[in-house]
Amino acid sequence: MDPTSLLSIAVGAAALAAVASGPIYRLSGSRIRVVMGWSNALAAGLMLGAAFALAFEGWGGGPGLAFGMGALLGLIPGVVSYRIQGDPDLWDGDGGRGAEADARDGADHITDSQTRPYASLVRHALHAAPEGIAIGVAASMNLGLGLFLAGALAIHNIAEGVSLVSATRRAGGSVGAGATRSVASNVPQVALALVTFALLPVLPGMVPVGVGFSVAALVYLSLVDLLPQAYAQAGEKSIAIVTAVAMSTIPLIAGALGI
Amino acid sequence: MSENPVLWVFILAGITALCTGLGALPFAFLKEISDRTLSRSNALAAGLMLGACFGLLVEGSQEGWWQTVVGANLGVLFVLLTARLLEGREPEAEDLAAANMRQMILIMIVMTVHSAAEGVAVGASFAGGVELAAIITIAIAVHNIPEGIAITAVLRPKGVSIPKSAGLSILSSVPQPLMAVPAYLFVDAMRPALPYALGFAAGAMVLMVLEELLPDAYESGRTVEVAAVVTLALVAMLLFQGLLTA
Repeated sequence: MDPTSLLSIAVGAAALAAVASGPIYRLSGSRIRVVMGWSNALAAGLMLGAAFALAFEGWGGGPGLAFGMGALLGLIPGVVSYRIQGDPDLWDGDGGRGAEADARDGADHITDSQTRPYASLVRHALHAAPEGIAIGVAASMNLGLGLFLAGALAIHNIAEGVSLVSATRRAGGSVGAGATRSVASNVPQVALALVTFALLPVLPGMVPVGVGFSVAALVYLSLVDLLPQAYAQAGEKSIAIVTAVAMSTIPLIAGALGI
Repeated sequence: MSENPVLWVFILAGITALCTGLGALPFAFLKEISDRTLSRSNALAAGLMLGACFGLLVEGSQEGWWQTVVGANLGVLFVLLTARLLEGREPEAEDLAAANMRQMILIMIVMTVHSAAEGVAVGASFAGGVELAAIITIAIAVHNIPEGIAITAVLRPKGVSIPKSAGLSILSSVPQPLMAVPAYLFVDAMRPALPYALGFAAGAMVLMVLEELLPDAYESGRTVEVAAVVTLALVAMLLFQGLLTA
């Protein structure tokens, strides 16, 4: 199988992982809270680990300015997604402790904008775009690393999907409609992964920029989305353990992939 | 530096301990430190420590990747076990100011166990090279500053002076140089243990970031700001490592 087809299947599967959000959403409240927390922690650990592997494989101490510029660019989609959504829970000037503080206190495990599924859809799509670029960059460095990252993001996509299904349900929609939106929100991930994978080999000067972009985007998304939710869902200790153990496996993955 | 590495390990780890005292300095100008500032400090320390772990994992993997993974998981286990062991016994900042000699010895024993991972990280990283030691020293030194702020924030309202607060903050981190030297000597004598030790330091540091620094940062600050500070600090640490190894 040629690399493009393999990557297409992997990224498509990662996007389709959001379908699993439907059945998972039907689990009872306390179980879903812990399962989602651990799932978010696992995804965060693997994404942080993948960011390290990507920095080593794709940059390895090369041109610092290009890497740094890329990293600054990598922060933009995540920051803009919150700006566009205008989530008062995050921008209300009270230290950002709105819904997240409630979630931490156990008021609710779903911290996404609960009554605005379309705002959630836009936000998730903006999240999916840098993830797609990161997969494309990783795959162009090392196909195995790209497939590994697609796997890590598939776990992340399930958790995001549950959040979107929840938002849809609260707005009166069905679980199926929520799952469909979840998959739709990941379309930019598939498209940008393939575009980046195709473009990077013909633009070698952009590699350090792309790597910096991907590293920052993966780290930022893990920290802005996955870990805060995970802490609220399953407590600090278990989340720290799951994330640290997932992250510590990266030398094993890197060794197996020949990085 | 190569003539007397033990002395340098002690000096570098001593610098990390001295940096805890820097946490008292802002109180010379401000009555209290805002939650948001403390959150940013914790986020900065978290980013630098995560970035430093990159160096530990890369260096460890070059010596043996599966040994690094085993070491990392042992580091996670060590921090969990020491936390369990110390549960309910950890001294409060005010205990430091009011302790007699016997209590102080007990407090130092507890703090030595608590600080063991940081000390081992400095010692083990020195065995991995001067550049790696510099990176880990900076990361742990910055991590110690918010700890000093937290200690001083408790002591100042009780009338403890700024110099004494700084001294007690430094005292709380004195076990770090004390643990760093034996860790270095052990890894230096048992070279095959190096990837385990580097992995151990990385695992322990990652767990400390995830269990202490990040939850504290999220608790008192804006999530988007915490995430941005951690990311920028991590990238800056990667760039610094690139600069050192270029």
